[in-house]
Amino acid sequence: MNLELTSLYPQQLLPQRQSVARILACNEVSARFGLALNPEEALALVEARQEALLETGRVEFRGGILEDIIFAFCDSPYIEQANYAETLEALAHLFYVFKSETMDKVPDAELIAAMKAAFDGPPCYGSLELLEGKALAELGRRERFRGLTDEDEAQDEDDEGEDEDA
Amino acid sequence: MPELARRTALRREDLAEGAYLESLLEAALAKALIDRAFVERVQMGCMELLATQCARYTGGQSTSLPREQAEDILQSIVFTLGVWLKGYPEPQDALTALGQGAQALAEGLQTGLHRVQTKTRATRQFYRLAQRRMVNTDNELYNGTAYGGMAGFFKLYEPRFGAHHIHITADYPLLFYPEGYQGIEFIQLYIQRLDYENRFCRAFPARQIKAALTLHAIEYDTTVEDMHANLCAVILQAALACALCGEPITGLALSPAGRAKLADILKGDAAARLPQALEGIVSEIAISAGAAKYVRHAVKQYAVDMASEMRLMA
Repeated sequence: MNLELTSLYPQQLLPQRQSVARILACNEVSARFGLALNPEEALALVEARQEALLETGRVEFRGGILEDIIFAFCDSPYIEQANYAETLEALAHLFYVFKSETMDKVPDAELIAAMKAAFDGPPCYGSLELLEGKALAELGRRERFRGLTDEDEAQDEDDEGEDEDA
Repeated sequence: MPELARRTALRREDLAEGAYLESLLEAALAKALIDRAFVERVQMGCMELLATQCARYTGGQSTSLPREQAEDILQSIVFTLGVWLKGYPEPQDALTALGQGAQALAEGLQTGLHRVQTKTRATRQFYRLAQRRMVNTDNELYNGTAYGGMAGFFKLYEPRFGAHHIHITADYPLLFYPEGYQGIEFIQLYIQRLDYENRFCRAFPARQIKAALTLHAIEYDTTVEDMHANLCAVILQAALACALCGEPITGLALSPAGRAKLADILKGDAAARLPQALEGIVSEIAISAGAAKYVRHAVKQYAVDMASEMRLMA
């Protein structure tokens, strides 16, 4: 009989109902910028977060990251009500992708701040594609090679290229 | 104890020392002393502890971790809770403690962690003393584990988040390898048993030890440096062969007449004679009671294999 005490499948560490209520509470702040999520959109965002966690092989042990993303981005000039829910889902997904890409070396708050700065300013100007393909990719690369000499970095890049070819 | 109570009582010897919490719950569930709801409460309690430990691990800087890392921390929690529960001599009392709720579980984790840290300090101190009794040999497997490996463990061990880790490969094969144990419990047992073996070996002259190991290596077409063998077993077998043949055990080698006599003995049930031969050795050499008990257990366990190995000396 295997009680699987040390397996995290299929357990979630955070109850879903709690998350939806907390996201809806964020409307109080985001409404000042003309943005709000309805209950279905809030649930969809929570589910998108779960999917992103599964996809990136991560586990969330403390709540709040969706609220942090909402508070950080609700004043963005590039987000409007029509694309609000969809953009938040994409940002949540990108957040977890780049937590892993930066090998968990960048604290949550710092990563969100970097995402916001890049999204609102150059080079992205509101483009999620550029946020992922350019800004966050550069951040990931910087963190992966932090502490290496230029020579080591070049060698690692060559090795990455060989792996991709293989 | 009434028959029914005896049949349903949990016995410590039936539980896995290396996976104590899991085996305690499994045994209790099998005997219907607890139900699934109890197990689920313990699992939920472990999840709450995991959330706290993950937050500590990230220094409060992150709200998520890679699944593998979180599962690793969970394994550490389960191991440490096991250390806590082993402090109760009776498994039934451990079970009762486990059912006292989330706060009790959190306190239990701290108690377990404190015990792990105490055990680590004590084992490190013992290792320093045990290092003075190492066998002087060129065997790379022995030296790699006994020196580099063990020292490496104490440098890398972090019981707050990886109490179950061993970190090193501990490749050198002991007579009784601590199978199923984890973390500091594995290391403590490994060093203790290595020390028993070293104490036995060092009861013999260094030159004779070297000669016996060299002969063994030659028989297996290898070198002392490269051979994968338990050094104590080689010395023990050599000493037993000498004892069986009535030749000086400190020589660890047989004369031509001794070899002929051994060949004759091996035609019969040599294995059955080994325990008595060992008693003669133990009474002659000066080793600790613990080391003597250890090699007695080894001879009892491996008598047939040892008798078979002795054919190389005949």
